[in-house]
Amino acid sequence: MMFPTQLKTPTDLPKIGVGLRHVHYQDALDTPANIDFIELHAENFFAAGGVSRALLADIKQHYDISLHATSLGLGSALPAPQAQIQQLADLIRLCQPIMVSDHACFSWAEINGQPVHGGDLLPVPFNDETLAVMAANISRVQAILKRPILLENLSAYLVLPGSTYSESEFLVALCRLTGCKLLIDINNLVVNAQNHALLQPNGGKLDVIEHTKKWLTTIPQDCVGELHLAGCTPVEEGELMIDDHSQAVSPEVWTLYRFALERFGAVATLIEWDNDLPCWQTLVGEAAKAKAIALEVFKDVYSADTQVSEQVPGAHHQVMAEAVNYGA
Amino acid sequence: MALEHQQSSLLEAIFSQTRPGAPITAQGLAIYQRSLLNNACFALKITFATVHSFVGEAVFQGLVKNYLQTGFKSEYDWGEFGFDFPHFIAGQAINHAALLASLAELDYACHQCERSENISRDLDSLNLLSGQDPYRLSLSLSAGTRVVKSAFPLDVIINEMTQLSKENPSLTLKEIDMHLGFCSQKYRGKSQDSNRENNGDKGFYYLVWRPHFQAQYASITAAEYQWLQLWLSAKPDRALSLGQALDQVSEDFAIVDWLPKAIEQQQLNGVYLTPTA
Repeated sequence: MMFPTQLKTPTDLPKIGVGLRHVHYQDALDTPANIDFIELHAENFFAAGGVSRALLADIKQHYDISLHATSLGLGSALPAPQAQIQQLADLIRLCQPIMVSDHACFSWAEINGQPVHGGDLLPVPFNDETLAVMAANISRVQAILKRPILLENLSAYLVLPGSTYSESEFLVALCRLTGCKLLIDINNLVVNAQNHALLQPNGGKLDVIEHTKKWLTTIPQDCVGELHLAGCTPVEEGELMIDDHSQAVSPEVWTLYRFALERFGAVATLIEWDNDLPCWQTLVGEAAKAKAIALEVFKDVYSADTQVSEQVPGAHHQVMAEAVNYGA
Repeated sequence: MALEHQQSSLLEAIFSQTRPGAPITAQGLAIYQRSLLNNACFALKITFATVHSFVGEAVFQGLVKNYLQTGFKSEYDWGEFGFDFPHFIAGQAINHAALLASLAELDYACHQCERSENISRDLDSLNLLSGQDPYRLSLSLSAGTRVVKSAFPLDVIINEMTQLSKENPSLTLKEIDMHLGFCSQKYRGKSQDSNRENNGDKGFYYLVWRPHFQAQYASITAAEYQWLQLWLSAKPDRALSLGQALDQVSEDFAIVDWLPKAIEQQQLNGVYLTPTA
């Protein structure tokens, strides 16, 4: 299997990236691939100095960076400390990411008068109180970071009582209140749909594809800034599925990705794989699959472009040809 | 207000690591409890790599599970988690707790050293050492420099364990445990400095520093430990001068021996003139 290398995606197509994890650092630097960006977990680069800072500089030389934070807990009634947000702001200044994101979750709470961080992405109820808290937190973070952020929907294993909005209504309201956009994790939607019957009182089994398509249809196009694609370990009937990012992107997620592109347009897309990691080439292969699907979805737009620029063969033509070959 | 209470309660339930109530909630809560334990284990395995390699996965996971129940964590960066893990280990009813706690302290010092802010090296500044008044000169130590005092010869024990693993790559945890027991007994009450041992000081001293990115540790004398402590405890806004430090350090410390070694091993970043009053 051959991959085009060192060629970036034309602007009419979505930028496709992969999440970079420790075991792939060397490969990513030694054999740069035709991916448009690398997503880094911000907290992995919070150390004041040492090898992570040097690595960040190396990565930046090869790839655009997207910073994905996992610890702000934007839905926490106890807001994140100023120092934490400042640490993220300092990192942003250092690596000039093309996107910055975190999750629609809570992580901070006060227990016995002390701030406690849960070290996880914990669910929130979708109601006016949470909306006000999360909007205030997002606005504060955006003011300190001096840029809008992307907010990722969660895979949740508990449904907290007190919701008065649907998840998608709640997320759209947040976008309208704060100017942030959504990072829609399609696998999280699949996991939630899969677990619905086990988590909701009297919740019936859902048609995962149809349910997720409906969810996506409720999100306005201008609210979406990025898509995440992943796979996870299958479970037995009666067990909760966990979004462990340990597998290749599932067929359901690929189907829904095509649907999402048709609905939202050429939105930046990331392949996430965090556990049982494959080799670097396999990960890059997943990105190539996403690119091939995007090519099919946007072929009309793209072919119009290529007719105009037909006499000037260049990198765009080559990457398209190679990606089409890959798809075949 | 309702949200605040709900979030505090959920975090308390997750940290308790106890079996929750109703079956459906139980399954969901158990996922978050397991995730907390897994994340904590993953983070602490990196920070306390030597301890993990000596006790094995099962004992380490048990330690982490109990550690999580000693209190709530306030660190949002897992890389900063575990500062009191060595102290916690010391109080556990496990084999060789005192030795493992001491190894954990060295692990933590190395980990923090590797995360500390980079300081650029200015070797030309060493020329100031010749011809300047020592009361006007100050030293800049390598990034992340730390010192550790232990009741055990940690370097010797780690080297012995490494050698043992090389000779027998299929060393079982039971064999490692037996050897740690042997080390605990063999070195109990010993000191690296027989003179100090006679004075009742039975400590072993270590310098942790990073010449580049990877932390190193080396055995140092009690006098060098005291010397480095002086520099490490100096207030940043009131620079300690070389002259002042030499006035305070014990007579056993010889700067003529220490300085060339410190320069050669990149323990020093440079020398600078202290601001005049």
